[in-house]
Amino acid sequence: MEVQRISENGFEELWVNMGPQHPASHGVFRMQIKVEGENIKEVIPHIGYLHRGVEKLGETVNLVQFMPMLDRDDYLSAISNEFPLALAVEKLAGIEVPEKAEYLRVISAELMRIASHLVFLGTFCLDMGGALGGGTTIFLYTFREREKLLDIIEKWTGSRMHPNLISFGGVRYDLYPEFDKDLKTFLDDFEKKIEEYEGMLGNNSIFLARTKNVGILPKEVAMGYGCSGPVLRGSGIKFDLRKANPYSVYNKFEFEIPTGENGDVYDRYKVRMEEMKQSVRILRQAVDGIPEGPISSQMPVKVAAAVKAPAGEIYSAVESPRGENGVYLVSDGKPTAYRLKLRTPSFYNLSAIPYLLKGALIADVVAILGSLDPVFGDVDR
Amino acid sequence: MKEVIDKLKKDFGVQQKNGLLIFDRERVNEIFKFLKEKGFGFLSFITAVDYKEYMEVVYAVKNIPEKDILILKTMVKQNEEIESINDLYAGANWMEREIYDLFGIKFKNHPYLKRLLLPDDYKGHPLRKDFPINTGYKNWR
Repeated sequence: MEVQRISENGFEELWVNMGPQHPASHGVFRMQIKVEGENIKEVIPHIGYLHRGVEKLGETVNLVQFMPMLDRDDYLSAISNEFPLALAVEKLAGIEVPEKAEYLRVISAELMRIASHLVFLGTFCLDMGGALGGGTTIFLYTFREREKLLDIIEKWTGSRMHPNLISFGGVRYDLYPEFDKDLKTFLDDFEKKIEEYEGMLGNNSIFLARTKNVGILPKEVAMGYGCSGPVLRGSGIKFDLRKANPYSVYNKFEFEIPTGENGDVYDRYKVRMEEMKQSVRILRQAVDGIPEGPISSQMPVKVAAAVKAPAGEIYSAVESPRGENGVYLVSDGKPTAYRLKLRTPSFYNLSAIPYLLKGALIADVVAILGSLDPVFGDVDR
Repeated sequence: MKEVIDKLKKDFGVQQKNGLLIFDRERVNEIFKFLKEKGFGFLSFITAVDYKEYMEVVYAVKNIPEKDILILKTMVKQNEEIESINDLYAGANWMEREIYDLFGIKFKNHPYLKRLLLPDDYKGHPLRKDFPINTGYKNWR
């Protein structure tokens, strides 16, 4: 931090360092912020503190071995990382997936979407500070709901956050007997809870003042930066891979794509709230429609030894809670990928941060950053 | 979609091999300017693949209203540079920096071509095939 000079408006210009260990940065993220009084003039973001070289690891281990590693990428919604790799390999190798497995994939992905959005909501409100008595109230509420949800996932797969559920050709674990009952109890309860949260936040004038007309991201800019998911939809573009390019069995379910109008922080928050309601809708339809049959087209032991993607290259993507999560797989016919590019949505969403923060107030930094919902495992890989 | 591909082949010298579109790296700017005008305003990702003798830079652009995706690639040999498309797509800034960081491919006219994920004083480009792996910590710096 050093005093640079006095600007033409008569203010001191300061370089303020935020992070990498900052409680509101949702991970390890550093920004150099040039401020003139309360106004931000320039932002230089620094990422890479959580860079683990996942793409290089993907070139050294078998595709089957790589699957559990992907869980740690976007650690709040592990299924949506496993999903695109499974789709890519299955398409290249021509592996069929039984319908029951597709249903289980959709159910797990939607459960994870709700869990991830709940973390967003909780931490976002925590960042907003003053609103809601220190902001801790809603944080504890959302984590309470999330814990119930993670209990269901744990009962199903044996792991709360990194289930390693999807395998090439299906899923690894079948549902446990009382799954229907557990899920329906949760959903009935959760629907009421969403309304409660919306009541607490939507009528809270401090919350509205801090989010409306803050951090506006116009449509064209959002597209240029490659922003996807709730960030893109918050800016008013109706684009969701689940509808635009229906993978798995998403075309069998009825659901809406919520969009925002102004592209401000409030719209991005609102889109995520609506998405949780749509996920509940999908889950209700899916859990009633699970067909009978096998959960995988391959014997698990055989898969580990034999899955080889034929030579070729393919890009497949799914709609994760943060946006377009894709895998660009280049295979040379060996069990190990030749090149594995992970198109992780947080990286592209976060790249818009210099644009968003320029001209904003220093108090809005955490609101804007929180509204992008970055996960730094996802950004840095 | 077909129209755009035909036009690319006719006017911009794009070749199609096994369904993949390959273009000349000298014409990267005019090709993406044309694609942006045709509605491909969403830059999905840029990445690179190391094939030892040469590297490929892969671009994926999307036409959001039409729900089309177009994947184009170009060859870059050792010590060759490629024009940045940062002026056309703002997101290319970080994507190109990432490629520079991990592959060592240089982008001409890039406003801030510095390492993105790795520390500034890191030596080498890890995603190249000749980068040594499993050698412990001694190659770390």
